[in-house]
Amino acid sequence: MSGLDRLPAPLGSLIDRTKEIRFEFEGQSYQGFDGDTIASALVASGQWLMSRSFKYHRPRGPLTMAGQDANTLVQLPDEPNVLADRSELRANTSVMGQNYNGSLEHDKDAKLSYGARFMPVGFYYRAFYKPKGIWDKWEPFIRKKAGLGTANLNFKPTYHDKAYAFCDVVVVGAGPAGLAAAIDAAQGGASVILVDENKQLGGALTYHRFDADGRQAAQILSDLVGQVVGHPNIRVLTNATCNAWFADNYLPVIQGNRMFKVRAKQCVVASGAFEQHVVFRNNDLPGIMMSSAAMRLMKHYAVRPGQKAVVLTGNDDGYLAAIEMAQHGVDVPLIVDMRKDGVEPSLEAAVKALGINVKCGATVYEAIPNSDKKHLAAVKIHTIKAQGEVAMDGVMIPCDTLCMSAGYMPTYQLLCQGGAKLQYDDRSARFALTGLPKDVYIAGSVNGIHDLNKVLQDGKRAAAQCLVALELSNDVPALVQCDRVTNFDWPIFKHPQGKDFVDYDEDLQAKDIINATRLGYRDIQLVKRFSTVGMGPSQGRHSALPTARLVAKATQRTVSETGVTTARPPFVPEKLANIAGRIFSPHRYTPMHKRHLELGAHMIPAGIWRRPAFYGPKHQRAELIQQEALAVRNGVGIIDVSTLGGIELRGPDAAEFMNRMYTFAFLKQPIGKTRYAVLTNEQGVVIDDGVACRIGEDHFYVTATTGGVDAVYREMTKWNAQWRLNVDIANVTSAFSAVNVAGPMARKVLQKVCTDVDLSNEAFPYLGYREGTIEGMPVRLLRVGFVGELGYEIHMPSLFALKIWDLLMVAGDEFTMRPFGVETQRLLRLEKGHIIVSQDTDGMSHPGELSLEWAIARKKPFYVGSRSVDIVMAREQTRKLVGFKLDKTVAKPEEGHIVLDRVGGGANITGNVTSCEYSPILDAFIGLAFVGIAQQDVGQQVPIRVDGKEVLATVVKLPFYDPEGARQEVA
Amino acid sequence: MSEFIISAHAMCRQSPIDASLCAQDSQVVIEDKTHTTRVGVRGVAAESFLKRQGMIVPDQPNQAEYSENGLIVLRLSRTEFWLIDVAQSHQAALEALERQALSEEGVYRLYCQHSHALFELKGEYSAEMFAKLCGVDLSHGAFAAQSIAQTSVARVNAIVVNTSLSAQRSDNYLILSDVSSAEHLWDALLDASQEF
Repeated sequence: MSGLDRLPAPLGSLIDRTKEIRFEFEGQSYQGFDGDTIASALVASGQWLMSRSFKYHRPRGPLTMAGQDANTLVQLPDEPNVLADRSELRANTSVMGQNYNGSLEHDKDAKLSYGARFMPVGFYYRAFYKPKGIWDKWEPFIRKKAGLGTANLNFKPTYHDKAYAFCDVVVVGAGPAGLAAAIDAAQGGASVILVDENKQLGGALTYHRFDADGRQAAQILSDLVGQVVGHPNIRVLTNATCNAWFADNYLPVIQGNRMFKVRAKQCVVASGAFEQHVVFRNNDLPGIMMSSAAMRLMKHYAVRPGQKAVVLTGNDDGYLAAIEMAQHGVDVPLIVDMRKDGVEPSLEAAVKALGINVKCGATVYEAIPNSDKKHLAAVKIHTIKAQGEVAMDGVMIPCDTLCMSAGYMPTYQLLCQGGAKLQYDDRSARFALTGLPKDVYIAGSVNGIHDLNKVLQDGKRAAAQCLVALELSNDVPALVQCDRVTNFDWPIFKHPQGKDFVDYDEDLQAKDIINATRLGYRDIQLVKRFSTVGMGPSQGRHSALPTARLVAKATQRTVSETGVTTARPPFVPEKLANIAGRIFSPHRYTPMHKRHLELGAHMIPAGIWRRPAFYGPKHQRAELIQQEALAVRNGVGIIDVSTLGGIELRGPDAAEFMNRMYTFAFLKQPIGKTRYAVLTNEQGVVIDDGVACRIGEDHFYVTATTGGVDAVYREMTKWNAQWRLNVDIANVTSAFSAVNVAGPMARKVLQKVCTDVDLSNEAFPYLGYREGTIEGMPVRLLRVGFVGELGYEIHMPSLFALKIWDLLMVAGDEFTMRPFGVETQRLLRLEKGHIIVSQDTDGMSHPGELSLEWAIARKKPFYVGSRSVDIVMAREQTRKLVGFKLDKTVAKPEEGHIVLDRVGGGANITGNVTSCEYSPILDAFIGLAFVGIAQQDVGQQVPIRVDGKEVLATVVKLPFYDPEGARQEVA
Repeated sequence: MSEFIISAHAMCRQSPIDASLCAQDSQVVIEDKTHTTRVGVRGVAAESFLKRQGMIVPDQPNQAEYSENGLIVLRLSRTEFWLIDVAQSHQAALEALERQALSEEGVYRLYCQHSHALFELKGEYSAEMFAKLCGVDLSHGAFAAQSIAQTSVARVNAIVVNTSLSAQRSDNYLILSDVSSAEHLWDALLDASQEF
């Protein structure tokens, strides 16, 4: 269908008539122009029906043409719930309606409307729950009926990101007030970000008629936009929605696929006002719209809103809309003015000159649909007798368009999110926003100013206040006063047959709101939750005011006393993709990462590090781990241990500091020696361990666990803030990378590349520390035995690490040195009986439970946690970490499996498995587990529940492997 | 223990960044300078030590001083200083300074040579690009030449230095960040620079 027959230019400011666009709606082909919205193109083609209402499936068409309602929600191939009156037309798009059963034109669920009396307000709270079990029957039906569009689960995610935007002044809304504010703020020297949700700058200036001649808006718009565009101090963000206001003027602004996080020193909200509808029977028929919607159709899209239009108004703006329509070929037989006194004489004369009649003190009481009930055919006009009451008899006026102008409600959402209060004067029907957050100002119609010249003054006033706050000016401006009244005080005409909608989104009628109050929900927040008023996509933009009025009247209070419901972010629905943005997931690689990948390592996370678990395909895990372990036991292996934490302590008090931090004694630790270092917290719990190297009298280098080093460093700096010892503490984790060359051949490998250190057992014994060089590059060498073999940890400055790794690999080639991963290391250390803090410990593990008494220096006066350790170890003990062994033919226990005090019923949990692996050396399952204190003796049988069945493990003496430590003395 | 000079052996340094991926064609130019020489010192005597070595040091923390010969001195706190040789023209001097620092009382040599990656960022849109990664306003006027921000960039800790000459717009920056997350930051910078 062709939608190309449009009103002549200059109407149609948003469309490009030279670019035709074809698209489909409900399988039918349509045409529009570039710049059209889906809705404008459809209306231009005569297609007014765009959606079905949520509950009764009533036909709905455009109401605001500004995305302020849910009447135009449609389905796009990749996106449900798209507002057709906001979404720009794209070529060859297939648009579908949604929320119907059958077709949009013939929705079988429209019959639900006939059952409306069985679905009173809040019916779902009082149904479906009895008799017991009935919900199971209802649930599939309700789930099928609830919800709107369909998500495309095959949708490929698109690129979204975020960016900060900084400015002195952010102006939200680029209508006349916002433009004036932005210009003055920028001229005063402030950097300005001007945000508007529309494509065009100008707000109401782009579509509204401000005077009978219709010239004022265009001139002002041209002048203001000319000053804004290209201004060096103004950054313009159009098609950008400010979706929230957060403390200190932190505003998320969504523009396309980007969310700007605006940080502004001052904020001017010139967000305008939402035109309000009139409540009467069938006020939701397609063809009934806001006056501003009709103006938008003409001015933005050159679309005639109908052939014959009636205007229902409570202010002067309806007259101006009537003039605009009449001048563009729409037959406007009548303006129905709800006010008794009508309009001022010159405007009345202007409409009469166009042949438009005016009926004052009357209203549309009922809209009459056409034969297929999908469009407006006529309106019934009744005289208003009293507030909300009309005369019995009315006059029928045929028409296909009805424009409503009941007044305006300020776009208060952002401001009320910031704590502002919306005040309402019941006598004058005027709004006022008070209690604005600090450094926030309002201007224009959101501030209750509706006269155009006053609106401009108000924008300038807000800018002047910003400049004073920014100390760019001393001229404190005067407030702007405006007497123009735009709101009719009671545009609600409840009809005995209902369908007089207060909330279009939720199909809520006037009686629904009143009934909610009769059921005891007097508070506006309770009315909202009981009736769901304001909970639909339009979030009360049109329903909040009539609801407040109805609740106020029903509860004998004022609208101010009743208030409106809480405004919360976001202002409009936002995609999760906007919130997620481009995800920064930092990861840490060791310098050898590329080599691990080249060697086919299976990488696993270790905190935010990536580490090789083993080398080879994942499905060969068990086999590869055993091969790697045997390579270490019988030859030599190399493991990247760069993720180990490293902390340097330097200064005259370094030894004293070490002595206070760790459980062991460090004052007399010899230079060139390492010592096991256990860290407890103030509760006496073991929280980390490492190896302390004494490099000099005043210099220690201590390792920490991969995941624990940052906390250890933090603890150290915290404690020294109290102790004030003369020591410098540096976290050097990233500065040093490390490898462990381990196995009987380890010395032979190392001595090929490190020639300036005597690596013999005599010169460099177990637990020794040395410094040397590898091809001139300095390295730190630690004789360690974590995996139970002769081993050298080589700690090297990180930028040298890859080169040294390569040299070691070449040197190890002769000895078939094999790289091994962290899972192999876990097996090897388990065989040696070494614990891993956090794997074999928990938040309650004290040194006694872990058999670490030997690592506590009892004679020293203090270490962190010493008093607690003494207390908890003096208590009656309840559990112990022990080694256990199991035949390899039984089910293998896993970490976390529970240990019981006996087999069979009534058993109590006494502990849990912390580590368990198959040991190729011992050809059995071995592990560590917390067991009950009565179960700790070597030889005891301990039940472990594995997948629901108990297996009996035998407690054994640790270590499992090389108890004499002979492997460290390999020549 | 023997002398352990980590600023030495410049030729042996290997950056984790693949230099072929540098964003040179963009209006924002990002270069990896991780391999260049830098030395850090900290301690109560660090300032006087550097002054004795003839260095001009900033008066305040989070300020940088750069000499005509290209050496940049960062003051990261009251007692912490990093010397950055982006042009790699002061290798011997910095190596000597590190050696000297080891014997100074109240001066502790830091390991920034190996703990941090160093990226250099140039171009008119640098601040705009940075706004996609960092919550600090680095635009001209808000972040003056010679300023330092110790902040978070793409969720990793970073030291950002405005190395623009004060008479010009702010369009030259150094970014120092943990070397182990250098690839993450590098990828984030390249991605952010795509639109420019």
